[in-house]
This record gives sequence, structure tokens and C-alpha cells, in this order.
Amino acid sequence: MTLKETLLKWMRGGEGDFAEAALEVFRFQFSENPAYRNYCEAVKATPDSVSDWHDIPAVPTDVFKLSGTALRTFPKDQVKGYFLTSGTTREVKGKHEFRDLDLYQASVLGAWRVLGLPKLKEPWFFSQCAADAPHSSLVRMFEMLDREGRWLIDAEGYIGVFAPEGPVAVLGTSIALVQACERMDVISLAEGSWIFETGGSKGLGRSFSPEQVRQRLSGSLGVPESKILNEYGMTELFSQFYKWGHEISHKGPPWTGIRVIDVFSGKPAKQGQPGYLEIVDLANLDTVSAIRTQDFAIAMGEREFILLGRDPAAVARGCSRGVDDILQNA
Amino acid sequence: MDARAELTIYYKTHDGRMKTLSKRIEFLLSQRKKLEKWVGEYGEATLIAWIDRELGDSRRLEQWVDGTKVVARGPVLHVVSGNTEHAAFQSVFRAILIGCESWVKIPSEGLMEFEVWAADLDFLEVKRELPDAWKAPEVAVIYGGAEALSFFRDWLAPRTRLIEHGPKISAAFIFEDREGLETELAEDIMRYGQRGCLSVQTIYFKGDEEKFCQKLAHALEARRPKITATVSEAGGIRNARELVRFRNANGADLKLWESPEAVDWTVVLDREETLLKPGLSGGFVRVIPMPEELDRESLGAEIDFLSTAVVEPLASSNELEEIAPSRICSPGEAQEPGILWHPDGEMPLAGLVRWRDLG
Repeated sequence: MTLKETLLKWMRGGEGDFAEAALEVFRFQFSENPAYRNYCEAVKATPDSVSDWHDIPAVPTDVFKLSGTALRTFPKDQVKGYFLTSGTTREVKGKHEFRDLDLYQASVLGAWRVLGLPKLKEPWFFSQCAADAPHSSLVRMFEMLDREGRWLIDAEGYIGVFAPEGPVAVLGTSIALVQACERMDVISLAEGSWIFETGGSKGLGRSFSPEQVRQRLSGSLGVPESKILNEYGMTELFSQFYKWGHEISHKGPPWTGIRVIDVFSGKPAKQGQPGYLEIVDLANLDTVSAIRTQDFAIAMGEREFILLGRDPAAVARGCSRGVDDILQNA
Repeated sequence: MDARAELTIYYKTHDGRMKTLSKRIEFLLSQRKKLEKWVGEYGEATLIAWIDRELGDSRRLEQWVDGTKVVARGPVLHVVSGNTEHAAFQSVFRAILIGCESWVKIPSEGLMEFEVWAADLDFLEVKRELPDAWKAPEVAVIYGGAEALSFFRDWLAPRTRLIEHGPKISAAFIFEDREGLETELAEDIMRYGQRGCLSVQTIYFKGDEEKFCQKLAHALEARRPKITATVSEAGGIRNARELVRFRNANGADLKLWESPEAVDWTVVLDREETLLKPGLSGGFVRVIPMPEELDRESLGAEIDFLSTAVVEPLASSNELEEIAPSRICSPGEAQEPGILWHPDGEMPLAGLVRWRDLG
């Protein structure tokens, strides 16, 4: 069985040992991803010297923005597609190339299952469909969750009619949902309804705290805050982390691990101390698993963290920007 | 007698509103000891000459001269950022000289030295918060980032004239190395945590760049006090260093010097591109081989945001005529522009007056 098959089996309901699998994935990526290997050798972290997944070198997300440096374990002629980070046309976008989406789909659906997230009944996506946004990893994820849902934003950015009946799931980026709520009357969704929101809420002159986003959505759609699910994900990662409105920390599936780095010393932050969030995501088998984000967090467990927010010095970005750009232009 | 008691007597013997130019100059001269640190040296003749230069004739503040007179605009709202205290002192200094009523919005975390100085001046209103009563000044002088500028454009009344000083960057252009140069540049980089518009973020260097970087690294390490980076700056520096290491490992022509086990300073020798870019603060400086031509093509679009160009030797300043920076100075002087300079290429006194014409 190949490493990919082992991981797929795990994500589809089998067993797995993260610490062991992470080291195996590191060995594979060191061997098959030349750019990553070069970096690991430069920081003197090789499969011979790394015996704990906490020591696997993480690359900053900006590495995905480097043109001319392939960050993948497979040759160029096998590239089947790519996802782009959102941002304005002036900003350099990060590019996540893939040869297939097997691990992405297995991770999305597997996380949904192991974290006990609700089944999507009558979903309404405040989003474009994949045909209109082929390079959005979020849109592709929505499609994996339910192809038959209603897609409310067209190619030009116009929002369609939202006419729910009975309990529904409403999914979208934070900004798209907040903007949609501002344009429609206050309603009260049927009991059993819930909301999925994701992405930063900062950019293009609009800025809301996560609490404000929840309050606005709850107030406009009549859904209790405890039924609002926040997703933490990024284009560079194939796995996601989730938190309900009444919870304090995001949790990820068993094939992910997190570390928090003290930005002053560059070493792991002490327990309870904030720092940069690093994620080791085994669904990223074909690129690099260990990613350093530009988000501050406090570790709560091996795959659980309190998200403190985006580094204010980092360029405003996040999934919301892609949709926000479109809505501003509409 | 302490300074506070001296000031109290000053106000008792002077008109606190200082309606005439001579009284205002007298007041500013009385404050020289405290203000020269922030505005540079000045005397009565300098101040008069400055007004003459910007308004044609300083007497216009009080009488008709050749059919024109000027009126001090007011109130003037000064919005100052927390990265350095220069902007606060210089902006208010100009308003006092012209005779404008001033409201000063300082950062919510305070601006220590300015607040201590202003506490004794009953004609200055200084606040950490932003009262609604300040929504309609005649002029608002705003120092800050893009978000702050955007906020005040929306918040202020449409009739308020805006004088905006948005984010800027400064760079050094070294045509000849010399002994002690690196120490002066270390000061230009590190003072105020490299957070000011006048802080050098990039050095264009002609000569042995690697040798210069080593000297600069030693000078940055030796300089005291150390910069205390914010969490955000430290994170940005860590990421930038890793990105350099990653690119370097993959064939890019970069070299890195860094403070050991800390984020006090970082020098990156970048032979890959010559573009001027906004810096990270916290003692992070790029050294770039001097391009053949110093123009928009080699330095890129950020050249529009270049504030101060540190040039060595100063006689080589004409090499920068194509990019025409608004200020040129010698190494070691980047952070001390003096009160007579033209911030962002503007005449700062002229923006504080309204003209009247006879006939």
C-alpha cells in the first residue's frame, strides 16, 4: 500500500498514528520535493536528524507565492490544477498545485465525520460555484460537501434570491454573509438551521471581529450563535479546523497537528503562551505538510488551538477577500 | 523654580492665546530646550525667514501686504501616530507659529514626552480618545497608515481640509564606503524601532557589498538600546528570515546576517532584485547593489513613497535627480529633519492659512 493509500484509508474511517505518519510523510516530501529538501538541508533538519513530528521544518505560507520554485512532490506534467490565495490584483497570490484532489476530498469529508459536524440538508452557498471560481479551494470544498446545493453568487458577483423553507444550512465567507444580511430583511430561519462562516473579515474598508460577525449573522438570520460554525482553513492546506460559536478553540482531524512558535525566540511557545500557528497537515502529502501561518494562536492540544487572529502586519487577505472583491464590484 | 512654575508665570505675564507673531515666537524661543530635540535648532530670524519663504512676507499674518493678508486656519486637528513623537511636536510647533487653535489626537496608548510637554499648555487640547466635538475642524493634519487615513476621511466633516501624511519609506544610497559609515547608518535604521517614515529600510550600495553587510551587522549588534520588537514585527521578521533561507537554499543570490536567538536586527544582501519595498521595522534592512540607473524602472513603483534619501557622499546627490526624493541628507541625519523641511514635499505652513485679497 502506498503512503497516499494509507492516508486515504485513515481519512475514510480507518486507523492511523499521527506521530508516526507525520515522520513518514516528512521522509517522503524530503525525498520527492527538491525545493523543500533544499530548505530542510539548509536548516539542518533531515530524516536522519528529525525523530519527532514537532521538529519537522515548517515553511512560511509566502513560499507558495514564489514564482519559479515548484513546491510539489510530483513533476510538472502531472499538474492537473491549482488553487490561488485571494487578494487584490496588485498582491502576489499563493499557488497550491495539485495532481488530484483525492486527499483534499477525503480530508474534508473525513474531518466532517470525525468532528461530528452536521449533515448538509438544503444547503445555501453564498458563494460562486466551482465553474465560476475554478481556483478557489473554498468553493471546491463546498462542492465536495454538496454539489446539489443552491449557489447564490453568480459569475459577476450578483447575489441571488435567498428563499429558505424549513431547516437549512447557510454557508459562505464571513464578509459575503454579512453583506448579504445587510441587503435583506431580518428573517428567522427554521429551528435546526445552522451557519458555516469562514475567512477573515478584514479588507476593503470593512472590518469585523469574529464576535461581531457572529452577532450580525445571528441577528439577521435568527440562528443562535451556538449554531454558527467557524471554519479555519487556507488555500495552502487541504485540512481545516472548526469551532462552534459557543466554543473557544478550533479543532482539527487526527491527521493534523499544530504547534505554536514564540516569535521572539523562534522556539516552541510555552504552554498557554501565544505565538505563530504552525500546522502539520498530512493531507498536504503532495506539497509540504508543515506550514507556518501568519496567525497568532494559543495551543490547547495537539490539534486544537485558540485563534487570536491574523498578524496585523500581514497583508489583509483570506478567503473573504476573493468574494469581497467581487461584491464590491457588483 | 521648576519648569511648571516658570510656565505659570509666563502665562500670567503673557496673553495665553498669543495673538501676535512676536508673542508666539517669544513663546517658542522659551521652549527651545525642550523642543530642539524634536524640531532641530531654531532662532527668531530662522522662524521669520521660514514664514517669509512660505507666505511671501511674515507681516501678512497681521496686516495687508501688497493687497493680500492671511488668516490662520483653525481649529486644526493634529492626528499623530505612535511610532515617533517628531510628528506631534513638529505639527503643533507649526500651528503655534502661525497662530492656529490646535486639537491633538494622540494614540490611545499615549505619547509620553509630548504629553508631558503639552500638559502645561492651556491653549492646546490633547486627547487620547476622539470626541465627536472634533468632527469638524477647519484643517486636519493626519499622520498614519492607510487604515487611519481612510477612517478619518469618512469620520471628518466634508468641509474639513485634509493634509495627509501616509506611510512612507526611506532608503540610503551609498556611493562610497568610509570609516564609521555603518555606525551612522545603524542609527538611521534603528532609532525609534525603525518604525518612522524617516527610518532607513533599504540601502543601495556601490562597492564590496558583502564586506559592508558584515560591518553593518556588527554596528547593528553594537548599537544600544536594542529595539524591542512588537509581537507582530517579530513574527514578520521570523517569516522573512525563513523565506530568505528558503529562497537561498533554492538558488537565489541572497545572504543573511541576523541577531543570534533574537529578532533585534537582520541584514539581507539581496542581489536578486533592486526594487524598493516597504520594510518590516524591527531592525530589518535590505542591502542591494547599486543599480546602473537610479530610476523608476530599477526602483519600482514604491519610489512614489520615498521620503528621505540618505546619500554618501552628499556630493553624489545629483545621481538621484531622476527619482527626486523629497529630502536628501547625510548618514546619521535621517531622523532629524529639522523644522524647516517640507514633509512629503509640501509647504507645511502654507496649508495652515487662508488667503485674503484686496481689490
